[in-house]
Amino acid sequence: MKARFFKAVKVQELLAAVGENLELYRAGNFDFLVNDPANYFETDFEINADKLSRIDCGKDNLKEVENCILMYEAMGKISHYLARDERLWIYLTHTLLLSYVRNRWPIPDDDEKAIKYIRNHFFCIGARGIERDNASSRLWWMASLCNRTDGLSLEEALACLLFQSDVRANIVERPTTSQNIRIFSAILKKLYESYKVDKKLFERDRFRSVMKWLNLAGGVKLLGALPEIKIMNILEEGIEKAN
Amino acid sequence: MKFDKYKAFPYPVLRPESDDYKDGEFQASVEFAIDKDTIKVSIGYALSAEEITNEILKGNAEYVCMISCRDTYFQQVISTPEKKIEADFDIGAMRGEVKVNPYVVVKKAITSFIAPDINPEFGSGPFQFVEGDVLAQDEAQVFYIDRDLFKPITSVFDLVKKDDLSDGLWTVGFEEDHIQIEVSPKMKEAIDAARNDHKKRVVLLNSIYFAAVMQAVQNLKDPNENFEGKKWAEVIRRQAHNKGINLEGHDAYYIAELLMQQPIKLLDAYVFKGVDL
Repeated sequence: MKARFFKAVKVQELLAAVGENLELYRAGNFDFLVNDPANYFETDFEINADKLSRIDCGKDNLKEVENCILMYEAMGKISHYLARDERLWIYLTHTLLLSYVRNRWPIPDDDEKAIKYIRNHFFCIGARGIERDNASSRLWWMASLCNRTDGLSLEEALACLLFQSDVRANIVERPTTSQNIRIFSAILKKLYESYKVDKKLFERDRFRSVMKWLNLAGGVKLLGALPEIKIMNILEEGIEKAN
Repeated sequence: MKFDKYKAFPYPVLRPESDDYKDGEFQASVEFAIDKDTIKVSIGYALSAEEITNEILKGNAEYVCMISCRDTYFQQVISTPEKKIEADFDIGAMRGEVKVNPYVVVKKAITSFIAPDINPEFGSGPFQFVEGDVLAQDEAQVFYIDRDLFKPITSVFDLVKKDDLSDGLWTVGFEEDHIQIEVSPKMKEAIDAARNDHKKRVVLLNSIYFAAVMQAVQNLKDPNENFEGKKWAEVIRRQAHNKGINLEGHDAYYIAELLMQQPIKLLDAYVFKGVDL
């Protein structure tokens, strides 16, 4: 099927009406939005609805790695430019992924809390809304980041990135580590080595100390201009010091 | 590595607003252009420290530009010994704020670097540098990449009909995402027909559209008005930023001329001189 985007005005309307639509979010659906083409526009690129329909999770099994891969494959060749457009993801959370979002982030009984939850996970609010909070876009962006890792499969890289939320936040929210492919790859490779053995590098203090070391090194050297082997050497030195 | 004028490196770095060097400058000029499939960046370097230039010529250092887009996690490091370089990127790679950080970076260890302009506080040298050390750094430059920002400014204007307007009057509305140029139904029909003719389009550009752009700029200059979140306001502000235009620094008519790429030139060529297309 062709990817659809809500019109900007519809996104604004939905966001303003979360409180009024609470019951629809809890147990109803938004089919009425899909049934009226005035609410959305269709683009040229194809997405795989079958793969999207397989995105699901249970209470005790969030299936984050599998879901990231399914989402990444389902969205085909979407560009980063388009993947930054909230209207695409908000369409998905209100339609094809409605049931997944409810399972992944069960809507609280308390109305005030429910509104906050819905705004966070059905919409894209704030600077990190697209890559961190929206239930559909976060899956794609994590897979997209991990797909750039040299030397690890997408599944291996995702398993590392998603294993510990503090580690993930430390990597993803620092531009130095998330934007440069060589630095990102070097860190994930080291994490993967640890993941296979004792997972010590995932310990909060240890990993923070390594990141601090990398930051210090990046203060006097342009890490992004170094070959990956040199970055790896600096990283290994930091890991050694953190032991 | 962010540019920070207060930062102290453990070795001398040629930077703006730094006294690591008594004399000498390093500057980069950066321009972005967008076509259907590509974002093109053209970078030029000016370096007046002869000793650093010599290290580049010897192959021990190179010019490096780091282009980063936080919104798409894009980062590309462009290295060259040349003073000018161009690079193309996929149109989908960047969106929103793009930062360009220019440096001269050590590529191979430099064992004996001497420059008379280095501040004596660092000692008399010679200095040693290893791979990745920074010899020179310019301030970061910020651009905004969005397809709408590289379209003509008039792309954020909609011509709409307003039934209660008389034929000779037109008004402009700024409340929507696109600026609404409101005309009577009869005038709308006439203008729609005129837009199919290149010469007539040039006249429209220099009349209704020019006045509307000027009013939009005037509104953005007004501290009592708030157009936050409106697409047209974002496009005009960011186009002005990308063109190096400070909205506070000039009158609205002058800014409109720059944003519209001096439309009077089109009037001169296609109407006054009657160049045929």
